[in-house]
Amino acid sequence: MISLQQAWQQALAVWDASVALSPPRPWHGEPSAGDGSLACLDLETRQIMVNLDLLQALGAENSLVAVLAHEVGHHVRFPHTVGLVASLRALETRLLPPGTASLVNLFFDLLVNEVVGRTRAAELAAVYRGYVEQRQTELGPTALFCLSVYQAMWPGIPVLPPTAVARMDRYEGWQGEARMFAQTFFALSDPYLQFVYFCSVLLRYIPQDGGRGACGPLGGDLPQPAAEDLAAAALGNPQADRALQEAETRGWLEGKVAPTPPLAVLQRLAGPDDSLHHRMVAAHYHRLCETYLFAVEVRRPAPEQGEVAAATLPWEFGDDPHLIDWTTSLLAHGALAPVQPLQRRQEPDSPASDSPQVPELELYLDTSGSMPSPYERLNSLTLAAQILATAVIRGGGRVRAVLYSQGRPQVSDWLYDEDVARTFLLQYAGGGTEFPFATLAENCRSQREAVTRVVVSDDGFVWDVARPDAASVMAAALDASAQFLALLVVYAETSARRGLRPLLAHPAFRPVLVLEPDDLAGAAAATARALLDR
Amino acid sequence: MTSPLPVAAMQAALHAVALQPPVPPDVAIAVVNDCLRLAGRVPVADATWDAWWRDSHPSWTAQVGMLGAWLMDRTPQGLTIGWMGAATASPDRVLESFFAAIAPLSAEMLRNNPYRQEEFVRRWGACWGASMAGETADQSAARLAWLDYRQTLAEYERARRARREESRRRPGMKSGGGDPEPTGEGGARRRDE
Repeated sequence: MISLQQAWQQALAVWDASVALSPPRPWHGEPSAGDGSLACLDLETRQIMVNLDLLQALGAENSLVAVLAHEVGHHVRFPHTVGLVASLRALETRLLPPGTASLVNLFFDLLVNEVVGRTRAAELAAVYRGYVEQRQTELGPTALFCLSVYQAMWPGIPVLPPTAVARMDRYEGWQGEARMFAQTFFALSDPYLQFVYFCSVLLRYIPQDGGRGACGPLGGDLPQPAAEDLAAAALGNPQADRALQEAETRGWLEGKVAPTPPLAVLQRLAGPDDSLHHRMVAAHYHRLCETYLFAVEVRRPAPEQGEVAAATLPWEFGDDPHLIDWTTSLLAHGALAPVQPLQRRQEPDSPASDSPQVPELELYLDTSGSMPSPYERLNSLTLAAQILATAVIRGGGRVRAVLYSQGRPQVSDWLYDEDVARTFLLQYAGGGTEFPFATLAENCRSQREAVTRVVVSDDGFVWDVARPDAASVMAAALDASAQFLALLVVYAETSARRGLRPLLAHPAFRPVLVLEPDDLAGAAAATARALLDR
Repeated sequence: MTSPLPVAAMQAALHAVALQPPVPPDVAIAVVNDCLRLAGRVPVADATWDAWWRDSHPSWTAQVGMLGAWLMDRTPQGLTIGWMGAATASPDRVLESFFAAIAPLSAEMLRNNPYRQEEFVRRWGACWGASMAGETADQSAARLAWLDYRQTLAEYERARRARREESRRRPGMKSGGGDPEPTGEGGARRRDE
């Protein structure tokens, strides 16, 4: 077996590219343990790690160059960007049945291996053949079909052992299909069209359980997109849409592929990973906010927490001499001040907005069941609240959020970070609607300065303010507020205004009413601009 | 002894031609006949060309246009003239067999698919008895057999029929099992009901 360094140089020569990767290092894992991956890229060290023990166990010791070239190929060309991986993962949620394991890695493996196989087909075939002979029960029909494509591409070089061929024989005409696939797939120039064609063919070979077996010896080695990449990809792109149209024209897909709402795509992409789902949904709403906040101001740094002087304490040898307050020391001890100095420390003060023009915003967000969960479908109230919060914080202000439905509301601290604010506002309760008048009253009492209060809700707020106990609380709140805005989705504007009539007389109260939930985000952006312009 | 066909270079020349506007069939026919004249052979009669044109499949005009444009390139032209001169079979027979062999290759395939371009080039050389540079006869035959689109399509048909039957039983997104590549006959053939 050649040395790792020599193999590395030859692998780089396959792609004729200089790469920002450290030379590979061996990874000595149990050949029978783990997911059977031969190599992977450590993104922290930017080093390819190759399992030499497994390579030997597969009887493919002479395939080291091909294995390294395969990994280099993923790094330099297929995929070209992590964004493309995210886009294809989003696209496959529209093409494959729910619960299907992702085929994106197999897709890029085909592209990489076609290039590597031009000079090192026998080496690649030895890796796959060894793996199938030893672990073929772990490989599902989708992976075996991809291996049959290699067999079709490299006639005379066996890839599939007879037992694997026998397993595939239940799919009539599979060998002819693999040959046709090999002669068609690599002739398609657009990666999206290639991927749609790839999925349309492999669809047949996806087992009932979605195919969650091993990904093969050279699988599981793609860079994984971040939540933000996936959230962006869920919005779709024109290239993918054109590929779907062409696939429909060519009859690759039966029926039209309907657009899938982005949140549904994110749900499919996340699978059982709740943490990933939450991050993707947060990123999705962030992107939506940005489309409304087009007049992005330069972000001012969060206001420094001020300090105020605390009470004096005796200064002792070893304390910081800069803390000595000589004036107070002289006043307290006269001539003995030099031997009995007093020190005064600074304590943090409650921070305040650094600009009196930028409002302090107290947001009351209705998270009742009248709107869907923001994780399942677009929640217009949540988005509107996020737009307001983001705009005020970016303008140098601060936001406190009160999330209410029924029962005890959730109240945040004063928030200065827009990511923290948006994340807080993504919470959802469902259930009934009951405006938290007690919390409103308490906030009005505890807040020294008049703040801007905005309620983001629907007709539920109109009904709530009509309650007998609401009138006095609302009157006090309006008096204590710089402004009190009600940003509401209502069924009928006339009846809503009738219900809000007792409040309309107060100069601080302003209703912002929309009839369609989709219009609320624009209204929130306009409201934010108005608040920041005052 | 005629020159062997350098497959990769000739395929590249065909690919370059495919990117340009198509050559009208009349011009292409004239180019082919000129090659025959330069090879010292009798050109194919106009009536024969007319019969081929009249009785041909829809892709024929594009195929002959591609052939004519390709033979305008000096290197394929020079090689072809050599093969034409050395061939013992009549040019009519050779051309007829060539067009029959490439019949399934649509214009779009020839424009976009390197495997179909390679098949086109190899079949042209093989029809005139040329060997492929750097290959034994067995290797060339094996490669051409692998590239044979008609054969590939026939094998693929079994899979396509089975796929349609399976998709009827499979819930969710269904693969239509349509044509891998458009045939150029007024768009892709629609699936059978």
